[in-house]
Amino acid sequence: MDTYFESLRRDINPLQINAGFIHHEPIGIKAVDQKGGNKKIKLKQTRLYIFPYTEEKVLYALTIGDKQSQKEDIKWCQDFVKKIKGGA
Amino acid sequence: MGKRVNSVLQSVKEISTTKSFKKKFAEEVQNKSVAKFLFSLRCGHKLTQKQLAGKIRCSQGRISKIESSCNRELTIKDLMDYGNALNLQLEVGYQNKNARIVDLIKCHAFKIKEYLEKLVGLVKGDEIMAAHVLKFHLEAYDNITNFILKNIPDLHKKSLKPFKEPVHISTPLDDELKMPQEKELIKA
Repeated sequence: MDTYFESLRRDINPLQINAGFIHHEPIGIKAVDQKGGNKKIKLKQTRLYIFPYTEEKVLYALTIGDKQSQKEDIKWCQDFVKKIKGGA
Repeated sequence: MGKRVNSVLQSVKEISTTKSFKKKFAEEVQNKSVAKFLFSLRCGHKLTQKQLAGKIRCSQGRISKIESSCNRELTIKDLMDYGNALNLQLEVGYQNKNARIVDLIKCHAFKIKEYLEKLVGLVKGDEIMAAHVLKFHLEAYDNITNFILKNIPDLHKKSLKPFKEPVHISTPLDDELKMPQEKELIKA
């Protein structure tokens, strides 16, 4: 997430930020997985859901979950992002 | 809505209750500063890891490894490979740790002056060249003036006492960083 955030700070378009540990989910949500850390030990499959809100220049850290909760997590994030975009 | 912070490090400092974790995280962020920079550089050039690997003629796995490496694991060759692939020249330099933002602005202003003089030096009696260099000077004057003027109305509103004293332009903090010509000019 820090790597992603620093790239946004350098005014890089979120669509251009690509790496194996960043997954593009619906409506602009990104999922950052456990692979970016270059750790020697095998880490548990985890996903941190973030949303770069370019209009306000804010990166939202939405929720964190594992492979089992993936579907529900994405649904929850989508609802949250819709609220943000709707100004609620 | 949640709390707003200016960096991931700051959010960890505020959320985490474990002192050792905070320390370890801060070290991790610091240790990966170069890899993060290379990651941003690639993304800024609109390239995927695979595309960059193609330009460097290495595997995508190597790019992935570079971009998640600690500073001590990276080599000068890694930096040069990124530079060559992105058509950038690698420049290594040090900056005074105590330099303030105003010192950096002054330092860059002197650099602009140096490059403008180099540009003028290229004219050598060529009228077409002179016209183009003059055009560039006018564009640069307009752009730089606008950068500065853009902030002034907002600062006037925020400032309790409008600043009316004459502005004194001093030299950058670190005398060693200056070009010999600059030192001569200052002496004069």
